[in-house]
Amino acid sequence: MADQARACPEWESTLPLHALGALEGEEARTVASHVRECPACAQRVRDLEAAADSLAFAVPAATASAHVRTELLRRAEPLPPAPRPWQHPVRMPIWAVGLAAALLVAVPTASAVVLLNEHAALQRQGERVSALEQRAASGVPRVPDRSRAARVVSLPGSAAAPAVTGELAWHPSVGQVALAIHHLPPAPLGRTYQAWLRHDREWISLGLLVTNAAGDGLLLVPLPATLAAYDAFWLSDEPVGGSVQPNGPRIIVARLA
Amino acid sequence: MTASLQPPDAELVRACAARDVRALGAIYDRWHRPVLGLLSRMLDDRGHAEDILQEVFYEFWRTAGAGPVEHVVLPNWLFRRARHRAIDLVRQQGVRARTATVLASFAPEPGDDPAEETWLRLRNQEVRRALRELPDAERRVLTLCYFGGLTQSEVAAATGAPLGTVKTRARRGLQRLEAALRGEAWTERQREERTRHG
Repeated sequence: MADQARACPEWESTLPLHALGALEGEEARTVASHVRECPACAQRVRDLEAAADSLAFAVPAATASAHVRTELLRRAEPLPPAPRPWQHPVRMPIWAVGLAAALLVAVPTASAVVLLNEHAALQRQGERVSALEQRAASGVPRVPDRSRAARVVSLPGSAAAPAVTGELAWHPSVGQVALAIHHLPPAPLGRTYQAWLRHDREWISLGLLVTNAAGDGLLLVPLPATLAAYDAFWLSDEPVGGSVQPNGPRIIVARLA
Repeated sequence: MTASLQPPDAELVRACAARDVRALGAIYDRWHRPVLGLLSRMLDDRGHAEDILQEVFYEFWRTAGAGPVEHVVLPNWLFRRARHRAIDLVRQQGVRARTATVLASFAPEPGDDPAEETWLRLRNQEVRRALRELPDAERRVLTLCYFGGLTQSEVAAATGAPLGTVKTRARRGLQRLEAALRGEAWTERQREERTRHG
């Protein structure tokens, strides 16, 4: 083994277990810390990891179902053009502020204050209501309103994000929907959260969700039809700039019908 | 001896960094089978294995697009990420179940499946030969650690061996495997001499 890296003698006996991921607790942290600082031991670990990784070749290979490849490449496709910037500012009458405040009853007071203060920032978010307006103006058949009362839907997190909760509420007077999300972890680098409603297999984006440090976010969006017109709500993890339809991991999935 | 693959993995990784989805498809076609083979050995549920398979390749795609890719060496990067995700899932099942699954499902086999691709078949033969040369106790520790995701303490509890013995078997087993894959004879005396003289 002429080319084998010369690890520190006092660490040599534990490096193989580190390479196998079999150390635990304080010992694991101590060895990992040393490896980060010692180039020789780091190289030795890389050599040992390469040997350990060869074990994967000892078992028979398996062929995946065709949909795995199809779905992978679909997710990796280049991003579509960014959605047309939303050009109409959201008008925020007093009642809408009240509705938002009502949704935040369960949120700690400090978070509620922060969210209300971020209302101005949300007005500039510029997302997707234009699509809703176009649909309303184009005469796309709407499901008749089944109820004129405000409707609030509780939104549980998915297995991917069980701590996330939310509420979706629609106010009939001016046809606006309010979405409040709690305990949402920061979006991964290069990613953002996007809210969706589904009507008869068509997805409508409610917008990109911006959260504060506590993981709370709020969207207030004009919506011409009652929530009963839609059969599902999703919150998904999408590339920065958003998507034309939900492609990324689902954070919240809720039936509305 | 393994045949070289064309185009080289490094070239495909660079193409992925340049956001060529076709390169991702080529990498998936080349490596998804051994990655799924590993996941299928570690996980009882085929659905979980395929879910993790897709997530690993998608994680690779995101990693390739996020920064320098010199550290991404295939297929080891894929194996490592797949194993990491599978261990997270496997550790929920409890040590007893994992021990039984790993020991019952893995045993040195005399022959190879003729349906495997030539490259994989050669690599498979090479690694299995190296494993057969290990003492049973060392091979058992390696398979429990690698395929079962057991820690050294869990291996000690599962095999009834003292922790120090487990450490020694893991160290010797991995070093013997490394030497065997390099085509080198390995003896304890040679190893000690190398360590002593640095």
